[in-house]
This record gives sequence, C-alpha cells and structure tokens, in this order.
Amino acid sequence: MTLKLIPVFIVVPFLLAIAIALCKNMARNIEKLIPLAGTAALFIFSLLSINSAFQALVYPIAGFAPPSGSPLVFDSLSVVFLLAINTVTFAVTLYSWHYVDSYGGGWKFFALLMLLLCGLNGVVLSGDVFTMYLFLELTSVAAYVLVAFGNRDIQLEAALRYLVLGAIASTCILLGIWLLFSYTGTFNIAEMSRSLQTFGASTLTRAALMLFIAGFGLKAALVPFHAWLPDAHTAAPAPVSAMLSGLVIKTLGLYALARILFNVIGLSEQAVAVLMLLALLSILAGSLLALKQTDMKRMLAYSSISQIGFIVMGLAIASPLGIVGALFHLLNHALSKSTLFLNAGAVEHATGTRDYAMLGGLKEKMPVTANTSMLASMSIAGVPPLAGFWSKLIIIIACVQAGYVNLAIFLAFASILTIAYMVNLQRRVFFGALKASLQETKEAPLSMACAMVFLAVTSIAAIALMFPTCSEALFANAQKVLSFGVNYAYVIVNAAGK
Amino acid sequence: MIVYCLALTLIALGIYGLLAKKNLLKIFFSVSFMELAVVLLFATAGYRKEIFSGKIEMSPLSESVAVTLLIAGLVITVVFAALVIRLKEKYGTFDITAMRKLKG
Repeated sequence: MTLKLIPVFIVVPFLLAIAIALCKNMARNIEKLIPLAGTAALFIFSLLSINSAFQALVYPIAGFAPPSGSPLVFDSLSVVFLLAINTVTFAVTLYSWHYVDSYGGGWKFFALLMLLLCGLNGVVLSGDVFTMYLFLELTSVAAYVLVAFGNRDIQLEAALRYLVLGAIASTCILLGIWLLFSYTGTFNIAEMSRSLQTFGASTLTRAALMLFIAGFGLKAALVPFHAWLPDAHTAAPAPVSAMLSGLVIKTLGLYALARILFNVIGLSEQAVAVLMLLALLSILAGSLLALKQTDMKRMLAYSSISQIGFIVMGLAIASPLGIVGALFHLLNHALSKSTLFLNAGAVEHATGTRDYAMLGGLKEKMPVTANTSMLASMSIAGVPPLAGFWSKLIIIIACVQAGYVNLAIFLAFASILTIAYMVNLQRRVFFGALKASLQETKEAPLSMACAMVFLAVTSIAAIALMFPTCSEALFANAQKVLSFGVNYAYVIVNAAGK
Repeated sequence: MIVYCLALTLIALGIYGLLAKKNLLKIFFSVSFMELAVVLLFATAGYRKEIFSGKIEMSPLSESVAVTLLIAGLVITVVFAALVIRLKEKYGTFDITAMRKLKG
C-alpha cells in the first residue's frame, strides 16, 4: 500500500456513481456492469492493502501538510473496516443485479449505492473530524434515500423516522465538534488530541463526550437510541438492509465513536461506565425483542442491536484482548448479518412474504439460500468452530480477565438467547413441512445465489483469523491504534513529518 | 453572547418542534432550525477579540466550515422536502399521527 493510492477508496466509488449516471443508456445492463467491476476492483484492492507492519500513512489533501490542511489517514484500524466495507459492498452489488429489477430505476439505485460506499470509505480514512462529519453526512443522505427507494408508504415512513433521528444525531455530533474546535482551534484529529492533552480535561470536553456518545449512539442504534433501526431495516430493499446492518451502523457509529473516544478525548472511567451500560441494555433488549418477532428482517434487525452491544462491550473493556475481540466480532457480524439479510431478501423475492407463519420447509426448494442462511446464523449464534464462536469467546475471556466475572456470565447467557432466536428462524422458515402455498417456489436467480455463497465463503474464511499468524496480521496493529489512546496522535504527527 | 443565546433558542425551538408538533411541515422546519443554529455557532467560533490590542480577528477556517455546513444542510433539506411531498401524496395530509403503517 503506497501513500499515493489511499484516495482511490474515496475517488473510485464517486467516479463510478457519475459514470453510472452518464452511461446508463449506452448499453444493456451497463448500469449494473460498471459498479460490479468497480466494487470487485475495490474488494481486491482492500485485500492487497492488508499490511502486517504497524504504520500510519498520512496523505495531505491538495498538498497541505497536517496542521493547516485536512489529511487522509490510513492505518491498521482503517484496514479492518475497509476490508469489511469493500467485501460486503461487492457482494451486495452482485446481489442487486437481479434484485433491483423488481423496483425499476436501477441506475439510481446503483449510483446511490456507490455514494454510500464513497461515504463509508471516507469516514474510515479521514484524519480530521470535520471531514469525517461530511462523509458521515454523505453516507446518511444516501442511506435515507435508499431506505425510501421502493416508494411504498412504509418505506417513506421508515425513511422519515430515520431522517429525523439522523438529523438529531448529526446536530449532537456537530455540537460536540464545535465544542472541541472552540477549545483547541483545530479539526485535525492528531492536533486536537495534542492540544487537549496540553489544556487538560475540563467540563467542556466532558460535555463534548456526552454529545458524541448520544450522536454516535443514535447512528449505531445503541438501545435507548435504537427507535429508527428496526423500521429502517425492515422497510428497506434487502441489499440496503444488508448494507445498513452490516456496515453503516458500524462505521458511522462505532468506528467514529471509537476514533474520537480513544484517540482524541481519551478514555475515562465515566465513559467506560456509560458505554458498558449502553452495551448491556442493547444486548438484553435486542435479544429479548428479537425472540418475539415473526418477521424475518425485523428479527434480524433486533439481533443486530444485540450484536452491536457485544462489540461495544469489547471496546468498553478496552484491554488489548477486548479490542481484538470487538474488531473480530465486528468483522464476523458484518459478513454473517449481511448474508442473513440477503437470504431474507431471497426468500421474499421467491415467496413474496417474510412472515414466519406463511413460511416453512423451504430447505428443499431453496437449497442455496437455506444452507448459506444456516451457516451465517450458526456463526452469529456462536456455534463452534465457526468464527462467531471465537470472537464471542475472546470478548468473554477479556471480561473475565478485566475482573467483570458477572458480566462474562451475562454475556454467555445472552449468546444462548442468540442461539434461541437463530434456531427459531431456521426452524420456522427452512425446516419442517413445506407449506402447500409454497410448492411453486424456485431458488433465487444466479446473481443473488452467487452473492450469498460468496459471503458465506468469506464468513468461513474468517475462521482463519483465530489462528495467531492471521490474527496478528489484521488485528494486532489495529488494536494498538486504539490502545495507544491519546498518544496515538504522536504516531500520526511523526508519519506526517516524513 | 447574544449569538449564543440566539443559537440556543433556535436549538431549543427545534427540539420542541420535533417532540411536540404533529405537523410534518413543522417538523421539517424544526430540523432546519437546528441545522442553522449549528452553522451560526461555527461561524462565530472563529471570532476572537484580542485582549491586549482590542483587535477583532476572524479565523478563515471556521468561516469556510460554516459555508460547507450550509451546503450539507441544504442536501438534508432537499431530501426531507422530497420525502414530505411523497408522504403528502400518499396520505393526503401533513398529520404524522395518520402515518402509522409501521409497528413502531
């Protein structure tokens, strides 16, 4: 990975979006071919950017060096997110090839998807809080429109709720940024962190911290702030639900929160206590509400809330092991939950319903969907030897090591709840006797099946990450970025000086 | 000081509108109020009166940020306006209590 190539992740999706809009009438299916080729290239590129050396590359935009300019920062933590983002987006683009035909206006869908990708990559790569906010806003706007894409009444309602709560979240985040900017006089993450260390913590930074937790908590749908998520995930087209649940809530919520909390303000005891409380509430409420759902996608949406809780718990423990567990679980959840949302889309595409009561015995009619769904749900439920088991185990061990034994027991209990609702999904939809109304059901079209198999294979490949060599290559340095805390600023400043 | 009071009033108005009002258009304006209040805060963040010389300085950074925020806010406003129009077409009313197809 060389310095000059960093902007590719942001520029390419943006150009793809423009290319789609310009070329849409030139050839048949061209609006699908362009994003597919582009995201495939970005996926391979993100694989190549994995680097086992600990390094932070600072790319000065327009040649302005950090204190005055706003740089792009590429480090080991960005790599983990870039990998998840570009893998899932490639699969989703492939899946949408046949799926969007039922909606019409396909080129708009793909152009918006590319803008979403541009925003996500931008959030992960920006080295200054204001640029991060702008990319966050770009992602959010693309997501609002994509949720409303079908233009049916429930989709418009879900988009309205998402937009209003998203606007409140943006205001909270901006107020936090404003407080920090008035205090330090800079937007650059490294500079900001250094001035905060010089001036020391004050009521002002604590106020900013609360605003950030509320704002990013809303974006990540942690429990008191989760009202928009089940509606938006249920109403959106299936590929968009997969993007929202797999990537958007993680990048906009968790990545941005972790970056600002760990590297700018610095972790305090109060912040850890608040995060743990939010994580506990999310895990408990998410799991219990998921148990009683009868709509496939709504169940998966509540399950996302509870899994986000696991990730936040790992981050809040803040020991190296806890952070590795959180990042590992984040990657697993991105891969498996997107697979499950794509499966739900395939079932809806084939049968016209997502309701448990109308479904049953689809295993013989839709073998690809059933098997990939089985694999992904077992991974999320934490059945060994799948990757989800190892990531949850690491988080639980980190809890015990940090002295929270009660918490570890609670987490183990919560993963049993996860198994319960995932098994319920499998039993009601894919197993049992085939319903008479479903006799004519056909397997999903080729592109959808390929995308589901691709994601299932990557979630099997993620098992390799429990072995020390692979785990160190991806997570060891990413963990250092967060556990260096505010001292990480000096790594960036040194890298920028080169 | 008066700018802070104005911005806080706008934010308070926005939150009140979001919580208490049932009319979609009023919610739309509340969101705009909150955006504009933040822009106002950023525009004044660079304003500084030197204590010794009494000279007034403006930081170009915060001004450019304020202008960028106006544009970002405009994008949200446009998307929200499109949603409002579509919802009005579907339901024939601006009353959000009538829009209850979702389980919640």
